[in-house]
Amino acid sequence: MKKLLLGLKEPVKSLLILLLLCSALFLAWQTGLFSGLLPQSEAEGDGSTGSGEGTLSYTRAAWPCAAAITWDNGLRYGVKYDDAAMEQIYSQLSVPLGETLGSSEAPVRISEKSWTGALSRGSVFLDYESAQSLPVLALWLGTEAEALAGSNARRLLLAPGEAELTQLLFQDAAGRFFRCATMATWSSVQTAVSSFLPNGASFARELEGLEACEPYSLILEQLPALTLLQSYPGALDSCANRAAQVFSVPMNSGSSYPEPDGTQVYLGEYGSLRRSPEGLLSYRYEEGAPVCKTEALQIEQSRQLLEQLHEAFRREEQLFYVGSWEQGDMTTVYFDYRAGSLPVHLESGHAAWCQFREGVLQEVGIYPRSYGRSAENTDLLPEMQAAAAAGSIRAGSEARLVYPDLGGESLNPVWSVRG
Amino acid sequence: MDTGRLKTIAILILLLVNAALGGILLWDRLSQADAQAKSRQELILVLERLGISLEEGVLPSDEPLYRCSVSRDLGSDSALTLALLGEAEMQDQGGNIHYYENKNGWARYRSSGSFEITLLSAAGSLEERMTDGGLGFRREGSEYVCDFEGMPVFNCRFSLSPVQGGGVLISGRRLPGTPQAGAAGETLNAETVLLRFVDQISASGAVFRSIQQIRQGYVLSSSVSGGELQPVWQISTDGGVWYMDAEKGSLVSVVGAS
Repeated sequence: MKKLLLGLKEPVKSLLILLLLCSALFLAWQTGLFSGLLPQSEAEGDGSTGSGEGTLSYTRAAWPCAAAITWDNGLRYGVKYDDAAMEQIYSQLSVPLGETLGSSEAPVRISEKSWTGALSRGSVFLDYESAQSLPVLALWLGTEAEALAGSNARRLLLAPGEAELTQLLFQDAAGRFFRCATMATWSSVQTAVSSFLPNGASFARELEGLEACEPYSLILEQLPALTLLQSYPGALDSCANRAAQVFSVPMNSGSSYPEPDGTQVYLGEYGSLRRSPEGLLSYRYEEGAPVCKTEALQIEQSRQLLEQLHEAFRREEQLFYVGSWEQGDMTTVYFDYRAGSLPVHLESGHAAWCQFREGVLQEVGIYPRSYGRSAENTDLLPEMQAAAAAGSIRAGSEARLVYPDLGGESLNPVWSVRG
Repeated sequence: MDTGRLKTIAILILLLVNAALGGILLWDRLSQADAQAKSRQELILVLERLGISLEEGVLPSDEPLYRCSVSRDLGSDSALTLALLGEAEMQDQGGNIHYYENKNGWARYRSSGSFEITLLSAAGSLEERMTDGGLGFRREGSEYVCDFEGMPVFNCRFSLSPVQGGGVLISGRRLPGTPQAGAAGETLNAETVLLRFVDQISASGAVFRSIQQIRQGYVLSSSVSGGELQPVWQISTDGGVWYMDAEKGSLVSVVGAS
């Protein structure tokens, strides 16, 4: 027995050492001695707007310039010239809007009277400033809208329909009005906008003295505070360096030559990069160009490519999609800058574009610009007066605030007449 | 020195180390409990000076909660349908709205988690079948509140209502998928949240005299890119129910919660 006990002594000691070691490690962990040494788990997810796992991801490239929520009693909340407020309302609406577009039946033509009737009662109104393809809007919202193929809309209206479902109404680029039945519930739309309160916004058609204006232009009681915009130098050089990387173009003098108009051309393996004296940077594909057969793919490809270039010189401005223009077998996708909650108008035209021939990308062009808000506020003519003036200049037009970039360092917001 | 003696010395050293670490841990825990008790006492006094009553037992102990992403899980839709209606084929109605129908009824599910299920006959234990279908919930009055890891998701709630013909309609909102916890964030404790709550509420002009219940939980927010469970504190007073972001300590507007 004694021999047995003596024989067990060492193994028991070893076991005790092991147990005490484990206990010490556990106690050390509990006291936090090991915190910071162990890796933390990270959340996964890229935050992009996707239409499903394994499918192509589309990111929103345009957003409304005005939005309004109308209650049954006629009171209204409107937002305009305020990107933060617009983002808040749009993010609340994104799920019910996606359901509405995705479950829409084929559009049916309606009268303007039906449209204005729905606009005046409980409804949610979105104005995109330029006509957007409804199937593309649906893709940006993570769904597909086959029944809306070929339809475009400048203005959308969500309103209660039959059986407590939402009906979608829209005004297309040609000014015609349509209605679609959907499977989205009206309660989901009401829930999405329930946190907003009326702020006295009206449509021009409801206001005395604005009979000559665009009737569905949203007029706010009070404009949000707007500042001057500052233009920063150096965007062209930064963009050119980035373009050289993106398109694999060497920027040394051995592979470049000047054109008669002063444009410097840099030759790359798959195309040529051009830098004009007017500040335009463009790349022409000779081979290896992306192929995008659908409008949605062309917009997404353009957005991604321009985003890569824009990253090099971005300050507070954004590039947003304004429209696609087709001529023959050519499609040009246009983008403009937006800063300080207003669009920026360049003297040279649109800020950026991508040109496709039969779906094959031919050319990318951009006027690199960097903008930031200055601390200086600006006084503006009240919107009612600006709208009345626009109507007197041209019947059916509307007044819009923009920042015109005339080449100076400072940009003032001005009222421009549109339509 | 022989191995036996070395082992004895090692055991003695480890015993000392364990005793020291155990002592540190015990001191740490006692200090924390003491600090928490003091902080709660001070909180009660501060609230009393503001004319707000708070029973000490109302303050819960803090549980770690994490912000979670929630992706749509079509399997959970079909599992719930199978448990309540039986086999049924899914029809895509567009806009990420999915519909099931068979002789026992119909069901419709949306990407936000909203759903409606109509059973033509209410035979059998619905609560048991809902649990079998993967629905985690707790009963609160006449409603059912979904939960995640034992914590309520305040704006995911559904109710049962009778339909003509002896059937039942189950409608409301549920988690559209299984939440995936993100990186551990720092959530504020109950005392800090309450003080910030009182500060922010008084600025809004709302009036109340007693805090009746404080609970941790989540709210679900949906967006096109997916949903997110946000840790919150629910504070029930005699003047209403409010929600505080557990990470930022700010009031949050929660639609669809009680």
